[in-house]
Formats: sequence, structure tokens, C-alpha cells
Amino acid sequence: MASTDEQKIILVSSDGVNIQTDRIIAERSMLIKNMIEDLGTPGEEPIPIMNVSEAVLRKVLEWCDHHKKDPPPEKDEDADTRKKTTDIEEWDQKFMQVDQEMLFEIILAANYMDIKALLDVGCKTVANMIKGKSPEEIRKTFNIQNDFTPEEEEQIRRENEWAEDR
Amino acid sequence: MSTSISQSNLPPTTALTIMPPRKVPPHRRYAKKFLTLPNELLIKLSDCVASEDLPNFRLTCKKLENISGKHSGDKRLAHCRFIFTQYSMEGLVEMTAHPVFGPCVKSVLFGTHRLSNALDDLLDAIKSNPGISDDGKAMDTIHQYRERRDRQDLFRRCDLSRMVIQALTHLRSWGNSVALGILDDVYQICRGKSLLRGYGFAEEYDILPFVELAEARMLTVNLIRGFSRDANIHASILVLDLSGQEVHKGISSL
Repeated sequence: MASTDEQKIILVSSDGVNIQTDRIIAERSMLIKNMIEDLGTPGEEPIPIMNVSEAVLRKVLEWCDHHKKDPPPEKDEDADTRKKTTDIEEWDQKFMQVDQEMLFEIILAANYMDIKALLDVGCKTVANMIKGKSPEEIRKTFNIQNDFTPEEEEQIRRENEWAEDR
Repeated sequence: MSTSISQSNLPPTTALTIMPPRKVPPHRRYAKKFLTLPNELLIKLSDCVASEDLPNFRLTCKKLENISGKHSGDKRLAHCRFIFTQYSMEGLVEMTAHPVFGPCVKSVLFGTHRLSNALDDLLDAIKSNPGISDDGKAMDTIHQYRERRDRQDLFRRCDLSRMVIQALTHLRSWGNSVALGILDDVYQICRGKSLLRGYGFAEEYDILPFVELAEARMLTVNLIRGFSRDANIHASILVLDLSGQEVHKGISSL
């Protein structure tokens, strides 16, 4: 029996491109892992990844490749330890240096493909883009229209002050 | 390929009706991407936003304000501090009634400071203020100190108890158990940083510093105990944050 590490599988992107990869890499995705388990015939049938285009899928697999040796995520991962930090390891930081569209595509794909650690890195990257910015700077960064009336804005400012440590 | 942006793609706006043609900067190119992420992802993103960034994040637009409300409350308002001034108590009443933030509150601490009215204390305060150069100014300042103290006294006698009871009643209506307590806002240095302050402290004391009256802790504890009784709230825990040391005691043991 071939070791799982060496097994190859084929994924099909939403735009119909076949991508061959190692099973161990692809199984960073819980979606794929479950599909392989359900199918029971790894490698024989291409696995369609319906919502992810080739460019994004390749990018996601690049991340999975780098992280293939990571310990598997714990079942009931303690939410607190994960949330407390916005630190991102260096390789991941470089990996996330993409344009905004790709960043959001990666987040969407990580969510769809159920890759928790990648989803976390994506969300933290966005959180870091917000860090220390004024409301107007955040709007500029993400092209958001201010739809508050001056009165509504004033009300939110007041609410924000309830917690201010002054 | 056309470089112009179709008008119909632009969200309706009153402020930006006519835009001169210009090159779209990179951060604008993926115009609506961020806000078109599904809500479950926006919620997850807002959960990753650092507590100190949440106030500005909320201020960007209605959608993000809605999305991040619960996180803002949980991360920033669970343990809040107020003082016995009209401004501060108005904030407390409004916050506890708030449909999103009210249920997030887990503890409310009240400042213990009291203003001194003793002439000696006021004269000391004036002497230590280099900005006050002549007697006329000194008299004015003493007058201001006394005016403020009278205003606070009047508020404490007339409205304080009604407002705190109203706030406690709001808190009770959310069905969570809430700890009440006091914080010592008399000591200038606490945990290596300056003074722990309650909401509304700056509004009351930035222009005219407060002149403290020592031994105000028991007064405050007794007040809170009375308010809890009147609001029919059984605060099982009283949190004391004194000189930077947090102490938890049953309310009856005080």
C-alpha cells in the first residue's frame, strides 16, 4: 500500500483546470480531506473545487505545501489563544503580500475549503491593514463609502467613549 | 478595454455626484470587494480587529458598524468604569439600555473620588498651580471649585440615585449577572500608568483638576449597596480596584 504522503491527487478548479498535487498537501483542506475519505479512491477521480479559480487554487496550494508538516489543527481549538495575537509568521506575511482582490479571494477560498489556519492568517492580515488607521483611512483602504449622517457619526463617537481609558 | 467607470456601478451618493475622469489608484480598483464578502466572513474579520481599532472600524460605515457591534461590546465594554457626575451617569444609563452593548456589560466600577470643599485644600490646590498668578485669579478659581462642588452635590442629591437605579434595572433586564464595584481614582499613579479613570472624568476635571477628599471609599460602597437594594439587585460580588490591586469580596462582607 502506497504511503499517504506520496499519493497524488488531481483537483479541478472552477475554471476547469486540472491541478495535480500531493494528497498530504491537499488534505490541509478539510473539505478535500473529507471528500477523499468519502470517495475512498484517492487519486483515481479528479476532485472538483467548485468555487475556486485556478490562480487562487494554486496560491492556496502553495500555502498548503509550505504548511504540510504543521501539526493538524486541534478539534476544539481554544478560540482565545488564536484571537489574542495578530502576529503572523514571516513566511505567511510574505505570502499575503498580494493585491486586495487576491487577498479576499484567498480568504473566501480558505473559508470554502475549510482551511482554518489559512483563514486566520487572511483575517489577521486584514486586521493589520486596519491597525492604527483613522476611519477615513480605513474607508480609503477598502473603498468604503461613509453612509452615516453627521448625527449618527456623533452618536457612535459618543458610544466609543464609554470604553475609553482616559 | 474601457477605462471609464460606469455610473450605474457607483453607489448613490450626494457628496460625490460628479467625479472627474482620473486614473483609478490601486486600492480603488477592487472597489466593492471588502463589503461584498459574506457576512459570516466580515464577522470573523471584525473579530480579528484589535480592540483598540474597533472604535474607528465601527465609524467607517453602517454595515461594519452593525457587524462589529457585538465584538466592540464584548471586548471594550464588558468591564466599564463610571463616575458620579451627570455626564457620566447619562452615559451609563444610555449604555445599559443599548440593545447590543447593554447585554455585554459584566462589571461596572464607580469612581470613589469626592471633591473637598475645605478652604485649606482649595488654597493648597491653587498654590500648586503655577498658572494662577494673582489674588483675583485665585479667588475666581476658588469660586469655580466651589461652584463645581455645589453642582455635584446637587446632582448627587437629586438625580444620582434615580439614574443608577435605572441603569441597574436595565442591566437586570438583560438577564446577566453583573458585578458592581468601586475603583480608586484618587491615587495619581496606578499600575505604572496615570490614574484609572471613569467615563466622563475628562469632561469634569480637565479644565479644573479635582481636589480630593480622602476616605471616600466607604461612602461609595454604601451608596452602591443602597442603589442595589433599591433596584432589587443582589450583587453577589463587589469588585474593589484600589491602588491597582483588584480585590473581589462578597458584598455582605464589606
